[in-house]
Amino acid sequence: MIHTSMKIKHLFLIPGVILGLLVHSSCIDRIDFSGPPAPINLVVSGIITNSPGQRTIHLSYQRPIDIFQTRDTIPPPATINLFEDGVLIAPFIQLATDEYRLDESAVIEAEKAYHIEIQFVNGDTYASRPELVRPLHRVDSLGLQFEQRDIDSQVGSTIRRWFVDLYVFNWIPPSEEPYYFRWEMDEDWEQVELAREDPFDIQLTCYFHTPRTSLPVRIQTTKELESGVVSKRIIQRQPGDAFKDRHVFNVYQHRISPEAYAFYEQLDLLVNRTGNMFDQIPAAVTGNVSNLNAPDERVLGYVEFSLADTSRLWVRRQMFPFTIRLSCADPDIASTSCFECILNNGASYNKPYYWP
Amino acid sequence: MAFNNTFFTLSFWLPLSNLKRITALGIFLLVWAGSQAQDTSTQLDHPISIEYKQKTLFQVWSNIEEKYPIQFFYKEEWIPRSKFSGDFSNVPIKTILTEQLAGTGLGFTNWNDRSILIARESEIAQVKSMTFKTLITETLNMDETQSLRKRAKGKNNVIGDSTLRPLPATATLTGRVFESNTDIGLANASISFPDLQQGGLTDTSGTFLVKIPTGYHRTIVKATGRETREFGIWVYSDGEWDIELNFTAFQMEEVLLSAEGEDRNVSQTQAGVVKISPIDIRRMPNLLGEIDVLKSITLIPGVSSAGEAASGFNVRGGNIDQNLVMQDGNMIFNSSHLLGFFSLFNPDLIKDITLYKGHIPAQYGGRTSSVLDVQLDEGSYRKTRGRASIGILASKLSLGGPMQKNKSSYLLGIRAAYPNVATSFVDNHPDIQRSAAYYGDATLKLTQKLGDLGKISFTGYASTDVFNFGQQFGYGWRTVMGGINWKQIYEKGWSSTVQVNTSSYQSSFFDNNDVEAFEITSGLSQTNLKAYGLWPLNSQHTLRIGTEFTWYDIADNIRNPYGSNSIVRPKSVEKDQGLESGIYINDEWKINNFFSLDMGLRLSGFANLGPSSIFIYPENSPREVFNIIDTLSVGEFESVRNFGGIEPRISFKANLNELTSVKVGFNRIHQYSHLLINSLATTPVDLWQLSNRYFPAQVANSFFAGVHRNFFGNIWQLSLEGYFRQMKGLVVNRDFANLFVNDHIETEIMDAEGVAYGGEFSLIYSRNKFDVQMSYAYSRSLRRAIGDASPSLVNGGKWFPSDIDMPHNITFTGQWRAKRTVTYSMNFVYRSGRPVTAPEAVYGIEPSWLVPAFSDRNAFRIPPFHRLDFGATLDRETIKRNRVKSEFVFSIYNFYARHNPFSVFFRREGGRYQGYQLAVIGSLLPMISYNFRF
Repeated sequence: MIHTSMKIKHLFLIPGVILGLLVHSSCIDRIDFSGPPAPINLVVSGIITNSPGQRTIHLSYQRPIDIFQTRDTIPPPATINLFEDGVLIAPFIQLATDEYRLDESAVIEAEKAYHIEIQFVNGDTYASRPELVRPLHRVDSLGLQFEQRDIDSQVGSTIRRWFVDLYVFNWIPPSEEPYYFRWEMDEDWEQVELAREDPFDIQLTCYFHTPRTSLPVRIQTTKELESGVVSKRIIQRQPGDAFKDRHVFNVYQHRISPEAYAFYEQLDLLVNRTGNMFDQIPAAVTGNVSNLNAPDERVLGYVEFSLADTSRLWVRRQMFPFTIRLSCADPDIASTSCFECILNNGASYNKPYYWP
Repeated sequence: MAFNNTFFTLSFWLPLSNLKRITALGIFLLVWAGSQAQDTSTQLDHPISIEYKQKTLFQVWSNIEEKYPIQFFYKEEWIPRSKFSGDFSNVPIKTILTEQLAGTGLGFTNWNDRSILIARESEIAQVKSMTFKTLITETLNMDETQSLRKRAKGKNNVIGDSTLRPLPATATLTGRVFESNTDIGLANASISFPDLQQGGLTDTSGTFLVKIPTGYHRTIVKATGRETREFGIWVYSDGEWDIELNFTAFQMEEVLLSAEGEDRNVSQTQAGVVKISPIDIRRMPNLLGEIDVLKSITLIPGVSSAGEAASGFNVRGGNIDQNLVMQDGNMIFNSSHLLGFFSLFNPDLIKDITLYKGHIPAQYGGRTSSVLDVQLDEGSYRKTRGRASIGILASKLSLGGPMQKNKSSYLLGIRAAYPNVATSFVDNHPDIQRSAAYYGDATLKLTQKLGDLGKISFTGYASTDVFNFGQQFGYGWRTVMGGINWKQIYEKGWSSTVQVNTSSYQSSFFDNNDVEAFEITSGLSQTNLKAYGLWPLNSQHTLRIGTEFTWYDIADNIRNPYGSNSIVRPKSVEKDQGLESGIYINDEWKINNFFSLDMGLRLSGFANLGPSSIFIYPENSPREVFNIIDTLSVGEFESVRNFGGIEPRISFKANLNELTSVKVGFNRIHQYSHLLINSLATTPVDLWQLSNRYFPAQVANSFFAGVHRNFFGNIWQLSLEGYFRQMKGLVVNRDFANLFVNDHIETEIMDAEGVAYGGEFSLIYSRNKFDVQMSYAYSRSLRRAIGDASPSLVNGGKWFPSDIDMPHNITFTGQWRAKRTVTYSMNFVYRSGRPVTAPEAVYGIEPSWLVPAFSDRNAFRIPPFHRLDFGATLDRETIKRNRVKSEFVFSIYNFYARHNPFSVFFRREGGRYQGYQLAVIGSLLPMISYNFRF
């Protein structure tokens, strides 16, 4: 019997080896892939809202794909003006070589169409297409969902971990006109430093802040959805030390135009490609800026005009249905930054203005 | 020899009779001779010389028959089985027979000057007094009609009714050439009459029809991989003649992926027509344990595919949807299983495959690029046979046999692939564990003979495919087909065929994305009626006249919520229906020994019929949703738009000599459907769209020419072909086209035109143990968006390479039959990388995005594709004559484990984008399969 079972086991090894080859046969390799030199195109980008941090226009040129650069090539200075329903209402002020900020007096209002005009010293004039700003739509609520998922480990196997998903909920009334949303998010959390075995040690509280981001692209339209409560997962987090003490998710919900939605949808398709057969055929994204002197010139980027609502969700780890493995909870394994949290990136002893 | 073979034949036809051991050949000779003036004394007094040792009387008489113009007739049970020895020199035959039959109670007498009848002494006089007809119907208890149906196993055969007086000047022979072991009809077997300098080929089912003068003719029958047989036949009138050929272990005549006739490349009138036998396909290295028809097709110069795991194939720069793919006349809309890893065709059931990549005869219409006509075999009319294959990832079983012996048969094939069963055991890959990938299909063919010259058959096919990646997304698709084919042959060789086919294809796709989770279904069906007649007017003209009607019904494109959380709004988009019709005439005209012409004319039409809602856009304005000015409602069966045109088809061949021919030709073909694809490769849910107000009819004008030259007795075959195809009425997608569940899909495409041109070189060596084919094809395929109304034409309206533009294609295939039982094979394939749209720069935009700036469409090209495969077949059949015959096939796919790129994509890595290539198969794949048949 032993011999028989061993033989059978060996027989199964053959298909196992073949299967192994099959499963691991598809592969992804780095390649140096280059084509003819790309033409130099102007890039105009901006998000114009009533929020203080989102009233800037950036000008640049595109750069070669395979060259690491932290900064884009900058075009010469230009004059930029904001128009409301075709009437100039405010200029942009140059803050840096590539950055222009809208004058603080300008207010973006719903149901009005806005566009910008950019004039270079050489006479070239660029303009964005007028974009109708939709009324603000406030976030109904934010919510968390906890779920266990499998992730790849460093040794090639998979391990099961808890994840925290942040959802945004919106009540969508029956309406002929669909809603188009884009979300950005940042996070703040506090962390009380670990106490040293030092009678003079003063435990401080740090406040961490992540940059505002919208990566990956988070957009949604209710065009094909029933009315009612519509949810969208904004982000997925594997909880760690950031949830040791109080944590807050800040969600910025922009109600955007259909044109802007189409632009971001195309953008999403281009930045999340996997190369498989289901990938949609890519193409150059067409923005909403054009050269009035040369309409055929390809101008990259988009200037969004929208109204944004901000919503916050406060979280404490005690809310979680599982225990978080905190590296800063055990003095024996904690790193120096757990004792002096200011050493961490994004840390500050300054409390955010909205912190309780 | 003649006795034994004939015994077999007669026993087959009349198994219950004990009176059948009279040679069939002899019966007819008897009749023939009976009609002649008789001289009874000459025959028995004929002196012969013969020596034999320990042989039965059967063997002795057989030897006499072979040496002298004498035939013996007897009943088997009368003849003693004991063995005799003798040595006679110039002794009258009656002396020899007297000695041999002494003490047996048997006597003999002459029937005529060539025949000797042996019977019981008491019955000699009675039998001799009978007429032929009485002998057949009373003494032998045989039906005359049955007696006329002879299976050729002996050297001489008699065809027709010899009692007819006067005999007709010519007679039409119909019949079937089949493999003796399997009863499988042999396509393209040649039946030649050297004395008449005349001959013909069998069709895909192995049947043939020739018209020859009555009388005695020497006949040579050849088929690829089978023994060559020589017969003498007596032809009295129209009749049927079935010919068995044995399988040859060495398959000396076999060539790879070439026409079966040794000089077919030179002799056939049509340019760019390739026939592939099942043997050719079985010898190809298999992937995942399954032989693949479509992958074999792509080894033919001028045929390519988008890559591994890509569905379908492209012919001479044409799109996938421009190929008419049929199985027993049933139109196929998706010829792939498991996203292209397997093909829809069950190789065990295939009799014959014909690919028309150049000249497309007038009987085919509706697709502008090529026709792939796959004919299924029939089940055996004699005994049940089967074939099975058990593999790690796929298995199959086929059975065929008589339902009513010699009158009706069935053929059933079942296949299933279940890689998900295997992958479920793969540890550490939860997504793969939860994924599903499998397919199953079943094919059934029933055939009923209608008399001697008629046949009706039913072919049914059903398949289902599932491909789910975890719970995230998935595809499902299924094909159902059925058809009836009635073929009747009439006197003077005329024949008629009526076919009714229907096929349906449905697909679905789900994306499980929480509240936005949805499922989309789409599909189409067609019902097709064909009727045509074939008239061999004379030795120069063969006329084919026919008509064809096809009703297309594109299923509504429906979106529904998927899962309980989804709040996606259900939506249904009404699609088109229409009737395509065609009437045609085609003449194969053999002008003389040097020139021949295959010319045809097809009148093609299509009516897109309501109900339909049509959005109206202003003239000279872009088709944009915001430009819609009106909606036109068309009632049921009212015409939306009509299309049509005349399609000349012509192929001319000039034989410069026996080994060289030059061919030129021209085709015009209309196509009234488009396959809308918006992904890197064809997927199961791609949408079919009929021509309507906004989707034009495709029209292709194809010019082709070729030179074919064979050397050293056809051992070397050289072919050079060139082509140019102009395509009108194409469409190309706009950038980021949204095709699914779109009410105004016409806003997502723009009109286009295309050209394809190229040259193909092929060299085949076929001799003894080696078959080698090497080919090179240069092929270009370009497209251009047209139309003033489009706001932004793709690539500014300039010509750009199509997705399948792969200029350089090289293939090398070889076989080495090292031993009787072992065959080695190899393939090498090289082709240029296909065009892709790729980022040429990056730029940053708010908020903190780094965006790839993509190029014009298809401005880049991925790295080239090349692959080497090896295979070995151990054919146990030739070693063991067991009831169950088997073979092992070993193969290595992608021998040097090249990572052939399927696509290229870019990922953001810090402040830059890094290019990556995805290889579907990036390692060598060894595979063993065990096939057996019974």
